[in-house]
Amino acid sequence: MYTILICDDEPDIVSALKIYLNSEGYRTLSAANGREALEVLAHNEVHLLLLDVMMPVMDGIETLARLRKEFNLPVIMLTAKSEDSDKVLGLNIGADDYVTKPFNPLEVLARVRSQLRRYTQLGSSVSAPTGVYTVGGITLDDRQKTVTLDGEPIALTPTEYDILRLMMRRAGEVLSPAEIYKSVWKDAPFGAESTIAVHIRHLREKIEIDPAEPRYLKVVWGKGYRLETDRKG
Amino acid sequence: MKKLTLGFLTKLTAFVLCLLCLAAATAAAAGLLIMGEAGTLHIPEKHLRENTLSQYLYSVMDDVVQLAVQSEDGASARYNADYSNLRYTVELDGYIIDTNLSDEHFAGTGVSLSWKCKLTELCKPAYIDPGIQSLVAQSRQPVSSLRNINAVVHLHLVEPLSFPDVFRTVDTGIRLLCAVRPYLGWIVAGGYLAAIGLLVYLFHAAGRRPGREEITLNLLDRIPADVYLAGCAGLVVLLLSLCIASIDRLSHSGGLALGWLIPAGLSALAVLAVTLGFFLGAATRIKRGVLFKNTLIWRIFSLLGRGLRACWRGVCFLVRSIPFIWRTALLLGLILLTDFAFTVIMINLRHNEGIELCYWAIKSLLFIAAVIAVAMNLRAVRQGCRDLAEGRLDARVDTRRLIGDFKAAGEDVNSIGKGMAKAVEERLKSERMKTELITNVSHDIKTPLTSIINYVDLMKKEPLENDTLRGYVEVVDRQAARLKKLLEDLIEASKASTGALSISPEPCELNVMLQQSAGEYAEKLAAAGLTPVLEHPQQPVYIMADGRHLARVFDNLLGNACKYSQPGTRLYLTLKETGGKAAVTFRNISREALHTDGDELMERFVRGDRSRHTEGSGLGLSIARSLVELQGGAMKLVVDGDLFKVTLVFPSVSAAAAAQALQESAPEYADAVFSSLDPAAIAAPETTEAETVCAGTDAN
Repeated sequence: MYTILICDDEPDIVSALKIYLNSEGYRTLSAANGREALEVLAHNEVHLLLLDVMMPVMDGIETLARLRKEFNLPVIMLTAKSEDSDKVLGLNIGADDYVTKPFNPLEVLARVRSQLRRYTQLGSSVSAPTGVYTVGGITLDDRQKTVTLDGEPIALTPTEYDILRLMMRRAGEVLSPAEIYKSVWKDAPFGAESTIAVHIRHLREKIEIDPAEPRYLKVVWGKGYRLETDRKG
Repeated sequence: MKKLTLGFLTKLTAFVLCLLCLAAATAAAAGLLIMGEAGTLHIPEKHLRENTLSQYLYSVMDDVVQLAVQSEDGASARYNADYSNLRYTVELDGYIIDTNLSDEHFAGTGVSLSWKCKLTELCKPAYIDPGIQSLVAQSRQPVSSLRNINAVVHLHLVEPLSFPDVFRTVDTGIRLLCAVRPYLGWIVAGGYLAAIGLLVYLFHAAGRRPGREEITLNLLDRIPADVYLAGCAGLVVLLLSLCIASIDRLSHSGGLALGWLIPAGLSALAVLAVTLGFFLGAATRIKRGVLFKNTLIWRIFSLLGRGLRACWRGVCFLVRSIPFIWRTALLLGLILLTDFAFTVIMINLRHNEGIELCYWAIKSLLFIAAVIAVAMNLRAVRQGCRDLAEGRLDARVDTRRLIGDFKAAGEDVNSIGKGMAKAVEERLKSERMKTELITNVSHDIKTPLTSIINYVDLMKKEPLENDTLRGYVEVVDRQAARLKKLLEDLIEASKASTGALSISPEPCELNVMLQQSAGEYAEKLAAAGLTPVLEHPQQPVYIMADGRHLARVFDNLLGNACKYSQPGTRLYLTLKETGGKAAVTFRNISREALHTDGDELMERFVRGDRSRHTEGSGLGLSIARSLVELQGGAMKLVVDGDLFKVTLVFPSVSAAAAAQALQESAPEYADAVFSSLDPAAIAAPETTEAETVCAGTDAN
């Protein structure tokens, strides 16, 4: 059983999150601000931290900076700030993921699940055999033609599989629709690139928690698509 | 101490001492010079005395002879043995005609002088007394041969010189001179040194008074300097002439009228005193800095200057108070009048070419200078206006060098600039504050909204028997979601409209962009019963834009199309590039009749259906327009019946320029993108349009 610490100054949000997380079978602890959170962390075994940014006494950013010196646990930031710069700051300081308020509870649950899986299961998968590609929580085994996300198998159509394999081989590169088409369909891409967008979208819905804000399969508008290599390496 | 050193008595004493030192030193120097020249500096006192007294005896010789021949009494009245040291005998042709000796021999020792000559060398025959003439005639010769009379004069000074007369004075002087003779050099040096020391003190002390820090002017110093100079100069001239006259008298008397020495010496001393006094006064004035200011000439000129300045100011005021047009007319009239007057004068002078040429040259030069000055002024003002017109509100016209009305115009331009800059700044500030307010309020609303969404979701999960209640929960859920969307749109709209977004333009391929957007919306379009039709040129069209923001524009427009289109119609997405402009057109058929025009639809919170019952914030088009404009494009909306047409126009860039820009900004992407390009497609400007119908379903 995993223990999750919820740190937010709004009691209603804390109790709502508690209800969701408890119903999923997690044990929950709560803290009203950063200082309390650090206290709780010092005295309890906590597997994951949900951390609000704007709090009295000690805000989320400072808390994160402090706890990163001692603890190694996944941290998901809860923030009302949706500016890109705030997200980048949080991620740079050491957050593993972020959810912007007002959030969808199901999304929070999905992210919690994903982080815990990666934290507990994927920590050891360092050396991969040939034909197996790993990017972040996604693993593609070309010998068995299977794809797993954070350890859970995902069902893909053959086209989606081919696209994903191409993108995982060349993770980090921007691939234009024409290039993807040529590589997957083995044909000249006259006018057929639009279908790529549809496939990519389906693929994204399957491997992303929030398809509108993808973590892995990003749209580089006006250029193509890119599979983001994991920030954590 | 100061009181003592700067006191009046001290200064006066120093002044007198200084004068005396100067006088003594100068006299000694004169003595040295004269005696050195005469070679009498080292001869023994006895010889010097005898020589000098002999000269004096020679000087009185004329006097004695004239007195002797002119009157019966002879010279004994003046040179009486009872009160004169002089003993004399005058012989004419052997006859002693006059003597003051009691016996006929000189008695005692002393300086003697005997002189033989013709009588006429000593006095004119006319002066010779008739008695003497007859006496001489009786004796030997007629009067007509008076000139042949031989005269012998014996002069003798009786030693010791017991009577106070000129000889004794001279004798005393010579003795005194001989006494000081060895020390003359010392007197000169000492006197001048002392004088210099005293002068230094006097010049230092000039104008200073005990108990006062500043330089104080006395009564004399308050007299205007030039008047003072004139007075002093006059006094000096007067005194000098007195001195010269005295010396003149002295020398005329052959050094006998020694009494003249006193006025001569005194006046010389006075000249020295006046000169020294003048220079001390001048020093005081210089120290006070009023040497030139306190002069009559200065006062007169400054008075004149002030008067002239007042006149000029009056004229200027007068000219300024004349309206501009009249002033110009007046100036031109003056020029014409001058020309006319000159011409009339020239006719009267019968056309002197030289003067005419000079006049026209001067006039032309003045005219050219005036035109150039006006042109330069005009340029400065013009530049200021252009700066304003081009938005450089901090630019200012340098009005220091401008003249007249141009100066006024320049100042006006400057104040317009200042006013505009202030207005713009205030506008920006208020816009920024508005954006901040909206953002902050939105953030504050977000927290309670999170709770609402979460608890509504929890409520939905609870087993509710009451169907009505479940319906209510649905409404709250839907409205909460809508509120969330509205908030996000509001923040976005406020940021986009105030330009608070960071835009990083990169080359963006519009063909790809359209395909990506259409692909993203494939399901939604299908759900709305719309068939997307993509039309774009085969070769890529590049624009400089920020992909994320541009995607938001496309997202809003496609979302709008989904929401408001008539099901079963087509959505045309067209990309065209003509003349350096890339245009993307969205065309769809509206479900509801649009009773409004395009521009109004792009305003915030305006929706075509007016009923406001569908989802959406009414901000979509406003955000889209702001974002397009931020990226240097233009968005146009046309409503033609039920046809709803949005056109986005961006300046396009060539593929080569795009590749270069991309290489500069993000080299790692450039290869990936451009390696896939068909070089032939770039080279050949083929305009065959590829038309793709997206079925909106998975190709698999």
